[in-house]
Amino acid sequence: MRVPSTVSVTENLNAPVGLAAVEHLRAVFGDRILHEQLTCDEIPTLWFARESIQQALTLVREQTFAGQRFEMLLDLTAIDERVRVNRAGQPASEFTVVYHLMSFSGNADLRLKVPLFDDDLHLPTATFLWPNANWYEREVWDMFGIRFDGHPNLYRLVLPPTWEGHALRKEHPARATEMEPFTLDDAQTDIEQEALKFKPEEWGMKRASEDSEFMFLNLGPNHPSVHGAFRIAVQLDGEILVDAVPDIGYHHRGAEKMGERQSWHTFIPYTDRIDYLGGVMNNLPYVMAVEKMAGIEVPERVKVIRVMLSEMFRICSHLLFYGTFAQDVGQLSPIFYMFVERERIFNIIESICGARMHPGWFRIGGVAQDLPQGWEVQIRELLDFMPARLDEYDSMVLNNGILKRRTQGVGAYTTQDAFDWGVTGAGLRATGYEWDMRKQRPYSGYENFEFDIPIAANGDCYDRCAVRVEEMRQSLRIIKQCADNMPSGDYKSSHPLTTPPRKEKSMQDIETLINHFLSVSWGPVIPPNEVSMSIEATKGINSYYLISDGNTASYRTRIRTPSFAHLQMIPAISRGFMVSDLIAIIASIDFVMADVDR
Amino acid sequence: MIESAVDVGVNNDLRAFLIYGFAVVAVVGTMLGLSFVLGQRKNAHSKNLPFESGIVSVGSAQFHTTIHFYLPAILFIIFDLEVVFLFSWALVVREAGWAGFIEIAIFISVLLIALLYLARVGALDWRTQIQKRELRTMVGPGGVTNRKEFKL
Amino acid sequence: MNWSLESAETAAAPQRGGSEMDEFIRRNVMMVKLEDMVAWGRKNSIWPFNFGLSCCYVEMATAFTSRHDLARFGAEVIRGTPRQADMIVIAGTVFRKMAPVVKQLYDQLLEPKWVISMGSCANSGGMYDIYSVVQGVDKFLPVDVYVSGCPPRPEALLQGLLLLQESIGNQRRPLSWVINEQGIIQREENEVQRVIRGPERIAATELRSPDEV
Repeated sequence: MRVPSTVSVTENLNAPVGLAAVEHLRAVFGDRILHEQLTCDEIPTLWFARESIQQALTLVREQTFAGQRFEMLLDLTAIDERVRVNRAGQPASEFTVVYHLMSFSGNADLRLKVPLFDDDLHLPTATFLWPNANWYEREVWDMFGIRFDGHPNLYRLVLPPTWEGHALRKEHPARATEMEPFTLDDAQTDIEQEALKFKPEEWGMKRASEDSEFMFLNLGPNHPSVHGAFRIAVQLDGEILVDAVPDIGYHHRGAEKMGERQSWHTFIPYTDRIDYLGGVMNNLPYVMAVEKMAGIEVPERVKVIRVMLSEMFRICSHLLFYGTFAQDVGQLSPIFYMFVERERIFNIIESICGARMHPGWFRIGGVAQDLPQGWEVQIRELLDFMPARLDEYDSMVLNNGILKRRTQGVGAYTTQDAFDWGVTGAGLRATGYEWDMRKQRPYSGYENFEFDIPIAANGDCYDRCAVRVEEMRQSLRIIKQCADNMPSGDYKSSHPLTTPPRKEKSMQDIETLINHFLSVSWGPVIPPNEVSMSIEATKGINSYYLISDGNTASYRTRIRTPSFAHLQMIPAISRGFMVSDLIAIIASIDFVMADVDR
Repeated sequence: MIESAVDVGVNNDLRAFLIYGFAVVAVVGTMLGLSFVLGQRKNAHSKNLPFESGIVSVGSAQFHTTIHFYLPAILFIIFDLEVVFLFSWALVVREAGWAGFIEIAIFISVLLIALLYLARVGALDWRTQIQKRELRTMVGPGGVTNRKEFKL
Repeated sequence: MNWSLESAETAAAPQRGGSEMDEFIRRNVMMVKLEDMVAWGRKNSIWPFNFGLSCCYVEMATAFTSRHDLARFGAEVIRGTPRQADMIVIAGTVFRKMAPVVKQLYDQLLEPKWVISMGSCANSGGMYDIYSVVQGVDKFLPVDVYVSGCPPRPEALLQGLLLLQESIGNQRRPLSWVINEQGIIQREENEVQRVIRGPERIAATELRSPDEV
């Protein structure tokens, strides 16, 4: 039964649960902790051997430290350390598996690392502790070749099933032009399609029950309701869904490998396209992470500009979600109204940033240019007409009887389910848990703004939609505060690692010009360190884990995206419902395929 | 020799019928023949595969469906046959008079009671077990629970 | 009483020495060749296929909505199945895992069919020179129009559609598979827009400053 959660959360950044957990682990393991690493984001990072990691994870999972626990496995990834130079003090390792755990009740992070060697690449699975480890482990197998013993089905996830090699290993070619040219003749198409064909036995599905045979249907990569290149193979008993298997990888653009090839500065446009509805908000965690490693403090004006643009993109993304949600449930008109609003907001964004959908406007150390004169007029116009339109949409969509009957009670899950499956963002808040990264760990000046976090009680499709609609209103509130209180100042910091440096200075001083030339053509040299930076993106918690080796390019760019975890959950919440409910559930999750596959 | 009037009539009808039949065959034949010959023929590799979102499908379209489709089908047949009887009564409404009206009212009321029984017993509820369960365990009217008024 | 409104400049002048009948016929009766009629019908009723891969799909969807309104050009009916669609817009990056799916969908589109490649990723792989991306959809599909941009503005997609319509207007449908060759008979070569618009673009010297809205 769903009871609205009233857990109060501490806003203290130095939460005791992290320190208590480390103390406890030290007490239990003693010498078996191989190393305690210091990273520049102050997240406790402990190294364990393969034999002790299972016990360590179980301990952390089940232990409560003064009423606070580590509820969620935020990320599970690996690093290929074979070519890394600056790793003094860390245990010898060729491949390192990283577990990033998160405590919501205690507002803290914990990182556990395991060193592995190439001739012995296997590790016990964590799927018994956290169900969402399933896909993360499949991705690590796909990208690195690390086997997880005990995993139910360790198949490739993001690369095609016929792929040879593991993509994120350092010897795998990055460019398509370094590989064989791509050809697709009829024979090749047949081979690939045969490999993509769904085999129910592999997933433990029976072909028939005692009474009837099951139908296996592909809600395939090309379907209007799956919002992108996403495939879900469903096992149907008449109209009722017995089981479903989501299949991703049809949108894999290798952003993590691209991060290793591009310089810190030229990677920014690639971050835009991770969540293609989020625009500039995607630049934010990456740029903030690099600034943290470089030690850059941005001016106040930059923070407020960043917040304003991020909130405008949040409204854009939620409007598109709202429209497509209504469209999938059956209302075909509201989406046209909402796109008009999106156009108006895009006009404003285009006048400030220069492009509509993928501005790529944030820079390391600031933003690309100052705000144009007259920006305030447009923002005030937006604030004038937007609330009335949102009220109109409420009466058109949210209060519609048919929409309520189709979405209330459908796809509901509890807060504990959300923690198990790694659900963050509006999907978590709809279950009644009031947690938002902007309030709990304020970044980029969010602590100075006044806004509320909406929550709902049931955690079904309707509640997720209602929470996002209310978030739009709160975003308008934040934008108004930005427009009223925009500080004057520089639009870029004066730190030497700011890329590129301020244009006025570049045109005057030769040293700045040299800096400009080197940082733009070769890349800024960020000192060796590791950092993980999370923000509350439009879809959930978006986190960038960057490892710098003292080079102009990142050594490892790990992008933890919210939609990856959300899609894993679809079979668990839709068993026993009908196909039309599955469509409503998929529409309410608000994912973007580029966010899933990167 | 004068043929009888009947023979002439039959011959004329037969001739007209034959001409008409020939014309039909000619028109249809032209349409089919022209559409066979005109236009283009193209064959691609996967053109004749059934469309299933771009992937090859699993299993065939002929399989044993689940039994709970049978219930609405049989209910439809029953109530459909009731309509057949109503049609036949509707043709003779005036002749049947009040007695006929009362009889048909009894007939309809018997079937109506059966329909009410089905509705009460849940045979017409197409929802799944899980859908019914989720709807019962809902808390509140749904939507945002901590909405505070603010002045923009 | 029959009457109609015509402005003095636009109405073509009636022929001298013509009778009322000639005037009537000129205004109300149109004579065209059948093949021109067929080409006109084809080009103004292209039904796109509901196919989108990536970010460009959002801009394609924006082109369908009220502000840009693709329906004005006849491409309103967006079809979910390839059997009922005429045109496929490859909107977004073509991934190696998705390539056989795209090929299968293209095969399942019924003749006549056209392909618009939208966005840099579909044109040539774009900025994604990476292991999992096909460097351009023309590696395995014949493309009619390339719309460039990342993502192209909805107006750019509309221009691409108009170019396609022009090109279709010049195409002739073969009469029969018995007598003619198969495929679309193109009467005139399609012009490259870069060549046509190049001089005009180079001549622009006044560029708007980004410091003002």
